[in-house]
Amino acid sequence: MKRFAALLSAGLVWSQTPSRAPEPPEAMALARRAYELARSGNAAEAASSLREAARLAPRNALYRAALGGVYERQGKLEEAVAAFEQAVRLDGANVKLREHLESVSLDYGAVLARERRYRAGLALARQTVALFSQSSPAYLMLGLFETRNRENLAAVSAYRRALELNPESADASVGLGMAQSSAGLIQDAEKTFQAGLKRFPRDAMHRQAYGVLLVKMAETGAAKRSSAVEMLESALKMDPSLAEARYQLGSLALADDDAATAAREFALAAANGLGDSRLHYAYARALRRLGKDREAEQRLQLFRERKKAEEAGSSP
Amino acid sequence: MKLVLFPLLLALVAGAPLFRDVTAAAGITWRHFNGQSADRFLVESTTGGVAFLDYDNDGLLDLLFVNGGETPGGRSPAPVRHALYHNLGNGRFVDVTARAGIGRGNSYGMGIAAADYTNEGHTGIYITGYPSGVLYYNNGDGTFTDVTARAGVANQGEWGASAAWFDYDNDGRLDLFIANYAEFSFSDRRHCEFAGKPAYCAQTAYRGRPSRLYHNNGDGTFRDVSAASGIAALPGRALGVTAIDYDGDGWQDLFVARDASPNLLLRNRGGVFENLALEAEVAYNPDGVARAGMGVDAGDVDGDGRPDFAVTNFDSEYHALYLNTGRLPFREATVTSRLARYTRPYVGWGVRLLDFDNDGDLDLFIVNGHLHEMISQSNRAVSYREPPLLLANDGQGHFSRADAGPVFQKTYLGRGLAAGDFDNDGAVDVAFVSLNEAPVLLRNEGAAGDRWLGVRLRGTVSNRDAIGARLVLKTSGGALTRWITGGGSFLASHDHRVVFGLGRDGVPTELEIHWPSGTAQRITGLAAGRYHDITESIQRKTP
Repeated sequence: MKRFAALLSAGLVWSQTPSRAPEPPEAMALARRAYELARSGNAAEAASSLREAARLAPRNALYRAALGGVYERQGKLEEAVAAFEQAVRLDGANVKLREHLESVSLDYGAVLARERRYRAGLALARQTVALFSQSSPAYLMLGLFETRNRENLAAVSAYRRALELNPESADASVGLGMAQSSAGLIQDAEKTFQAGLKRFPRDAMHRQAYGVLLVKMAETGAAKRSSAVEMLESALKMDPSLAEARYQLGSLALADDDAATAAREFALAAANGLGDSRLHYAYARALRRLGKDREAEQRLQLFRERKKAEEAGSSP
Repeated sequence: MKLVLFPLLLALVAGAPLFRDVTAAAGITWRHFNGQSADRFLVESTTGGVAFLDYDNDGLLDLLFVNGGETPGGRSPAPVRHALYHNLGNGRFVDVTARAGIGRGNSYGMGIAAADYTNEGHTGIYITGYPSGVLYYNNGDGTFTDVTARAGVANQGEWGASAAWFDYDNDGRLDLFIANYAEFSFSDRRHCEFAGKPAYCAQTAYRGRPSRLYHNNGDGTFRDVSAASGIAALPGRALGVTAIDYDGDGWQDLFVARDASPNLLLRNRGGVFENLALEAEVAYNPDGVARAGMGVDAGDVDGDGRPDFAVTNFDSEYHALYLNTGRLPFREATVTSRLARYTRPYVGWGVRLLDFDNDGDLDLFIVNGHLHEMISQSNRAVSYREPPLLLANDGQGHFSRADAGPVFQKTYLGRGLAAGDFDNDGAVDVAFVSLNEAPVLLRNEGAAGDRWLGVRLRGTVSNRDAIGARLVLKTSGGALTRWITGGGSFLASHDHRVVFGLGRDGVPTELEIHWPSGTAQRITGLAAGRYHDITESIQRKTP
């Protein structure tokens, strides 16, 4: 409710709202009522009052922004984005409003990514970039969803733009390298990661992502497997909690029939938060090779459950 | 390529192709048609069957091509038809489709399984398709009769892809397995885009269907045993199938390649199938992801006498190789065999393990072709049209890409791929279908000479085509194990004869035949450089 309170009570937005055309007094009364309702925790009634206020005063950006804040509080991020967007449309010069819209859009994008709603995410990202053409995080979001929608070359452009807008963004550099890899631009990806290692020498994520690329390259004979291992191990030296690096090292060990090492790495990956279906599957394979059939079967069951959830979650 | 044979070296030095495109010279003018339109019905992307079969028992392999068909938005200016080409024996083929009575039917065509399912000495044909398949009985006079309804094998309402004839219950009669793909209807239009253009929706938008198994009653009719055999309980988007006794227990098993559904390894336990794909680690890739399995073939890749499996997949997934270690799990050798290296950019379909240079080990022939015309706008390393691959085996299960001629520099939308020695020279030839264009018939010129031994089996107690037989040829250089499999590749049916490559120095000493009936037969004194007709030594039991 912080955002709602800030918007409605501080008067910051109010004072900057342009074209203060006369509006029905009922609208202000509804807004005040909404404020009280929101303060008492009745977000649903507050939203209802604000919707009515916005209907009575269609050119009042404040009411829509406040409505966005209430929606956000309710976790209705899609509605929040729409309300803030309407507010920005009414008061495009209001910096605070724009910041709110950008922030809530990025939050909503993160939710869509978690829920694997990639097509909806792409639409949101395109809309966000259109409104915030100088926002590096907006381009990061666009790159993410373009990658997930197999628009790999577009993702390369998006991440490149994100990096231009914020050359200090290690995330943009990592994203660019990964997008280039997905787009089949393997040499470009290597260059990006190598440049990233120089620019962000303490960034473990660069090393992890480059290590993953080297693993894939090694599978096709385009890189030495030992280089991949070294890169992943160097990432873990910087940040032992990198679950993906653990998973990759475990997978390499398993391919070498070193089930004990594989199981150890998979256990560490799991301990560090990796819980997707591939981990459970690979872990089960390692456990079975170690003769731990019961644990292997438990992991397989987790694999099946996680797989089902992942497939069910892949909605547009 | 263990012994790096002279013909192969000569071909490479001289720049002569190992496989020569003889399609036009053979008189093959048929073209494939898939009815592609802006609607982009997924069925259009998975059609194009081909078979080598000797339908008239003249000792020469003929060719059958299966067409797709028209779609609501994709009309053909000419009638869409399948094509049966009769082999004249002089390198030329003549179109006998109409005379043979191979009709177009009402189905959208997919693949073929050809075999002597009646044990009468004539090869019958099953053509898969949507929304049903067709069984053609061979009348023995060069003509066929559609007996689908009487036989009860219409596979009605299904999108049938590859099919396999095999004897699942060891009763001496060939049964029919049909790999069914997904729920589909031409009235169900799903509009998807790729890089701003109409595109096929992802396969996962279509719910997978159970495959089907028909038991051959021996009187021209079949009984649907999908439920009783356990097949019906395993829905998924099946595209490829091969039947082989992978564990040597005397029962024919099945490997079913499925598209973004886990592959199936169906162990036959006396007529009931148990899916061991998860235990065998062939269901998923090492990350637990179901690849887009299209075609599958079986053979002894590493020379240990056990059948291994090669499966074609989508780009960036690699075509996979699973080595049979004699126990579960199989060992995935996709990376170590170098298949990953050579197949990364390709969407693979037809695949056949064949000894193209007769050096004694099984090489890989694969045809590729993408679904998305705009794919290179998403991945610069991948293209829409793709070249076929000939991968030479070093005898240990490691492959290298053979520069086998101009065909391998060209690109196609490859789908069905069949193998067979159509000119009886002991060098196994290949034919494949490419979407919406002429098929390709390739004569193998990389295995000239007489360093081979061919076998044609005739079952008496076993099914007449001896599908399911295991053959072990002992030579001065070791032992070669081969199988007569059911199905194999994608939408295809193959020469049922077996050709053993003898390498430079191999001298055949004894041939061991393990018939599907369970009996073994040993034969000595077989000469190289020719085919031998061998009949099962035990006579059929009187009922």
